[in-house]
Formats: sequence, C-alpha cells, structure tokens
Amino acid sequence: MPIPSVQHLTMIQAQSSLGDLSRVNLYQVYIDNGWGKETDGSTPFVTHLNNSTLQPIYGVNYDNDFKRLLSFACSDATLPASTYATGEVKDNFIGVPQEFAHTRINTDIDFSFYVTRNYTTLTFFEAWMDYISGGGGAKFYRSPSRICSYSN
Amino acid sequence: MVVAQNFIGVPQEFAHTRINTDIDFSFYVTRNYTTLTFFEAWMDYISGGNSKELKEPSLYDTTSNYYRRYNYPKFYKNETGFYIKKFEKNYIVPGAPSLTYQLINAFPKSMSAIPLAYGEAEIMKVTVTMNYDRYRVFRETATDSSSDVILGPGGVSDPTAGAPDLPGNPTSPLPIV
Repeated sequence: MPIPSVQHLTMIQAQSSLGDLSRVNLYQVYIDNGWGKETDGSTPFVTHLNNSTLQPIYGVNYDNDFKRLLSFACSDATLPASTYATGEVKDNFIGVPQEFAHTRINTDIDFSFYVTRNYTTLTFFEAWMDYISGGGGAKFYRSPSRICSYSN
Repeated sequence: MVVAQNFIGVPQEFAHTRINTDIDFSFYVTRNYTTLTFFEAWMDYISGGNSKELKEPSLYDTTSNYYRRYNYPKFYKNETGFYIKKFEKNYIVPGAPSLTYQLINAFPKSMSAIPLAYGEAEIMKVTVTMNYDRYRVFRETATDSSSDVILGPGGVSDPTAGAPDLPGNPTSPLPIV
C-alpha cells in the first residue's frame, strides 16, 4: 500500500467537502414510552406515575406536552460512548504484545435538565427512581397541615 | 526487567517488550455526521453479531435475544492502511522532508462521549482511541512531482512556503524503524 501524499484543501474545497460542521447546541432528548409492558399491554411505570395517590405528589401528567417539555428542558446531554475491553496476547510474536477486543463496554452518560417551576422535570425522575426501588414515593408525603402552612 | 545480581548494589534494567500506547484522535463531526458514523460502523463491525446469512439478530433488533459475535481480528484490524503524516509549510518545495507514521493493525478501541449543551455553537468533535500492534516511520523528501498541487484561486501558491530546510534525497522512502 503506497504511502499517501499530502492532500491539499483550498478554502473553496473546504466549504464544499467539509461544509458546515455539526454544532453541539442543536439537539433534543426524547423519553418516550418504551418501558416494559405487562401481558395485557399496560405499562407498570406509567401506571405508577398515574397512580391516584402518587399523581398529586409527583404532579407529572405523562402526555405529549410533558414529553415535549422534557425534550426542551435538557440543557446538557451526551452522545453515548463505548469502549472495548481487550485481552492481551504476548505469545504470538516475541516482544510484540497484541490486543484483541472481547467485550464492548457502554459507559454511563449524563443528562442535565432545567427544573421547571412546578418541579415536574425533577419529580419525573424521582418517580422513576422510586419505581425502580419499589417505594411508594412516601418521602414526598407531608401532613395536610404542613402543606397548608406552606400555602399561607 | 531488573537484574540485581550482576554487580553488588548496582541494579540494571533491560528492555524485553516494546509497548505501544493507545493514541487519541479527535475529528470534527461534519453536518452529515459521516465522520462520526464511520467510526461507529467500525466499532459495530468489531463486535459483529448481525449476519443475515446466519439469521442472527440485527444490531437494531430490540428483542432481548440480541447477542454479539465478534469478528476475527484479522478483519477488523487495519493492517497497513492507517497513516499519520507530519510535514511543514514548505512541503511542496523539492527536498522538503516529511515523516509518515504507519500504524500496523490499528482498530478503534474506544469512542469518547460527545457532550452537547445549550449555549455557544461550538463545533462537535469525536475523540477516538486507536489501538495498534506497532508502527513504522517513513522519511520522505518532496520531489518535483509534488508541483502538481492544486493551487488556490488565481493560481497563487502558498506564499509562506519557504526553502527546504534540509537537503533531500528524492528516492523511495526509507523505513527507519
């Protein structure tokens, strides 16, 4: 395979070949209903969100308006990354260690959301975390008198 | 490897293995995302698992029976096709030297997460970590044939190109490593 020669790029060629480069501030995050379903077609997590006892606490009405809110409220996001774990083989050639991929590792990624005035973008994820551990969202409960004093 | 017994109180070290560390490359992501998807495709190919002939589950199959069946290293490692060329502004002047590093058996080991954020319209970049078995270095000198460069508008060449800084030998490149 011949060694490549230096390639030339004029400004006009740069505009046509590279064109506009991608910008990091143009994106949206969608969290649609992809949670696991029961055999009857219901989604337990959405049922948890709409639970008559918990719904007033979370305040989340998981509809298209809320999905739209989530997509715009994400102020920082990350495109996923992956890494290959490799095994090292030293015996093929003396003094020349070689690496071979054996496991693809998907690293965690971070998202930051603006919290709306009614806190629904925050309570949505609290509800999701609560559902994972099976709690009833009890930490949000306050006595009626306490709520009353806040409103005054 | 440390040998402590040759001379009393004088430990000596001897090399036994040359370790080539991974290299990071950052690429601008173009508007059609091809610079990003090229490396995504390469990473996907390594872990394979979507052979239609074998009726294996597709990479995009959302069912839980998805699995990965890695391709052979011979096919996902780029044996001789990965080069890094280092040159200076006078690269078109006959005799100007350049260095070409050739990575042997290179493959992308990792792709970094790409942060997105509201705010300034910064250019998106993807960082790819390349692993390779070893490398070779070639030293070249520019020849008269390099004069077929594409000139800028009006046929004006780069005015900053200076004289060759080293006497060149316009012969075939010589591997020095």
